[in-house]
Amino acid sequence: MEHFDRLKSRIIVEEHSLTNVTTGHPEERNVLKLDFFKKNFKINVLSLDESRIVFELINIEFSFVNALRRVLLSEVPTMAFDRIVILNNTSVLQDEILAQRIGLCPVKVDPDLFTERTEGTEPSEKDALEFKLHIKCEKGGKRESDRRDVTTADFVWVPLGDQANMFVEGEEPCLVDVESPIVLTKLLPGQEVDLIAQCFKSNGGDHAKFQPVATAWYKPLPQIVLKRRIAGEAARRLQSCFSPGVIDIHVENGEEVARVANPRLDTISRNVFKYDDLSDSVELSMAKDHFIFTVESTGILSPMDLVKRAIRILITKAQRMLHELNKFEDAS
Amino acid sequence: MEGAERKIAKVPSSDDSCVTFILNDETHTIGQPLHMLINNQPEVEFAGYSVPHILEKKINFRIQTKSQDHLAVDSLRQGLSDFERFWRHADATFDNAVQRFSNSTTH
Repeated sequence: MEHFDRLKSRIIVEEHSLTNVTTGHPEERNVLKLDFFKKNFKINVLSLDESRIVFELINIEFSFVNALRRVLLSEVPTMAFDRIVILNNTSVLQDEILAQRIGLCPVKVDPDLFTERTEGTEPSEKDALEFKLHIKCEKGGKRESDRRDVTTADFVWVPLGDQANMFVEGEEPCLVDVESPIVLTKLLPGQEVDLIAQCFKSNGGDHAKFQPVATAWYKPLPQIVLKRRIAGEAARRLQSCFSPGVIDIHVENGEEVARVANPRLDTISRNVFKYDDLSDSVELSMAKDHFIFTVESTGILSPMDLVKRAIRILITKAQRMLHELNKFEDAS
Repeated sequence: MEGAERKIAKVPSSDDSCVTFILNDETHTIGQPLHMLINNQPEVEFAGYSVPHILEKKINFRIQTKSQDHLAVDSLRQGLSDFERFWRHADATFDNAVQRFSNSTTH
């Protein structure tokens, strides 16, 4: 019975195919029933730091998990440089290349404070953020140290309208440091860059520079079952087929024996099928309703904040459509 | 076809139990989970979606119910409502999970 249950909820990974993939008739899918979901859905956070969160979702349909990923990538809005007025650029980088580089730099400010800009209107304090960049490399030097890198740390925020009062001291808008300020261009003695850069609000679906995640992804929970005892040199070989930490070796009666330690770390690479003698020794499978989800932030929003905003967007989507449906009904 | 700029439009049909809805400005993000949810409803004979053209951001969502008594629009409404409730529950579950994690690591 346990085997049958396992079969129902797992995709079996074989050398050349995946089996048991079809999830059965949708009417039978428990995870799509709200009552079942409310009782059995679980989230466990596996790790969390200021740039990345890894959490697992249990008893959820894959299309929901994918919806979360899609929203994180293309619908959570941020502010990014969208209009650059170049007053002077004598650096080796052409204007448009410099502008494109600047556009891709993440801007650390809460996007909720701003609205999306309407085409044709003047940028205002409600929909724009302005920065100034003016660096001149002193003329005359001949040494390596007389050159100057222009980095994201050289940007100076210019408050528009009432923006100076919007931010607490120390938390003003700035550009994100990725370990250290991002180098935009390099100046030789006598060269200069002078520009005004404006940020507008949009999302990843419009342009990748607005994406708040340095990607987000998920994988189904891998499961590895050893069908027989694998010992000696074969055990070491088996260990090398999987990601480090998945299989460990313990000593039993003087012999090295393989055992499954942490299947979560596996990337389902199927390397084990390289070896004829090991192909039949493991059963690899993936869960259909248990996923490990990773979100890496670009530094604008915390990873927890990102997930919460994405969920909020999904809820709002449904609400908007329900609202439209009700209007629709009234009209017809 | 009326209502091209509306969020939800409908391909005109004489039968209210077999309807194709046009969801403007939507993609697989809502299409896939919504069609799984609506197919799960016992009164629904068929639910499916497609992207009519990849360069236009909209989806055609078709619902056919098993009897004339059940309107397709009611199935759509139920599906959207369930979708919202799923995510509200997920939101609360996520909050609890983060809380539990920070409690367990601050000891």
